[in-house]
Amino acid sequence: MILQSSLILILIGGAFVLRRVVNLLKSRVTYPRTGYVEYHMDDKNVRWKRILTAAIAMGVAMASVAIARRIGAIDSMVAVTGVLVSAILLVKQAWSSGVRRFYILSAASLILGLALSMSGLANGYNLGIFYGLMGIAFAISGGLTLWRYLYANPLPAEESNE
Amino acid sequence: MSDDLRSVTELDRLIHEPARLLIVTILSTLASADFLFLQRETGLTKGNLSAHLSKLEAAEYVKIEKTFKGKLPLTICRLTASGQKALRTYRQQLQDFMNKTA
Repeated sequence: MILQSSLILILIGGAFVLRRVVNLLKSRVTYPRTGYVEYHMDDKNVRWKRILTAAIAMGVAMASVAIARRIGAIDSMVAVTGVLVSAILLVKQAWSSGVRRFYILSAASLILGLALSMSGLANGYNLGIFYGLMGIAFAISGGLTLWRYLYANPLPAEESNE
Repeated sequence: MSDDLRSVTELDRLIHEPARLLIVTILSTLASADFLFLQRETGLTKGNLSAHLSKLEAAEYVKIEKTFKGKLPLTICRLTASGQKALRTYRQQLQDFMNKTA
């Protein structure tokens, strides 16, 4: 329970740090190349939606662990995690952003979760491997996207703005 | 020709010009955008885009704010309330005209 909760907290904290890094990268890498743009957004609603999403994610994770323990299927938690990450995080992200690579990551999460649950590794290890490999998958996917972007949008020779 | 059809001559010519219509339409979907983004999206040259933005700014349809992001100069453009209203009116007038002539 503590392991699962702390992993969720790491995920939420990681998402927070990642957002800051992405904003920094945007201002240093993308704005000088393709320009600055800000979309209409109701800040208050967005903040509450994020808090609500994090709370639901944590609740679902804790409930999943409790149910898995009750039915004696704690070793299958990695499969449940794979399904949850796939369904909640990635498909939602893919749908809301329309970015195809999130569907691939979603499928990877699902396959990885199921494969690790059948691997026979202890629960702590298979969950650690799951999050580690998914982290690497995200980093590769993001890195490739950034590489393609940088290749397609070289820095203008002159000052980027008017 | 009926008076209804003649109403097309009352279209806001400031917005009716294709390049400006494109700029205003892009800005209407965003909270704000910088000069570089608009230049890439519209495909206009710097001088051309600058001239059109100046006209839109003079009509108070667009608010232009010049700032710096680090060492880079940043020209932020956003559609004003009157710009949004002008675009809505333009679309409505054009739609009415199209409906009458269809």
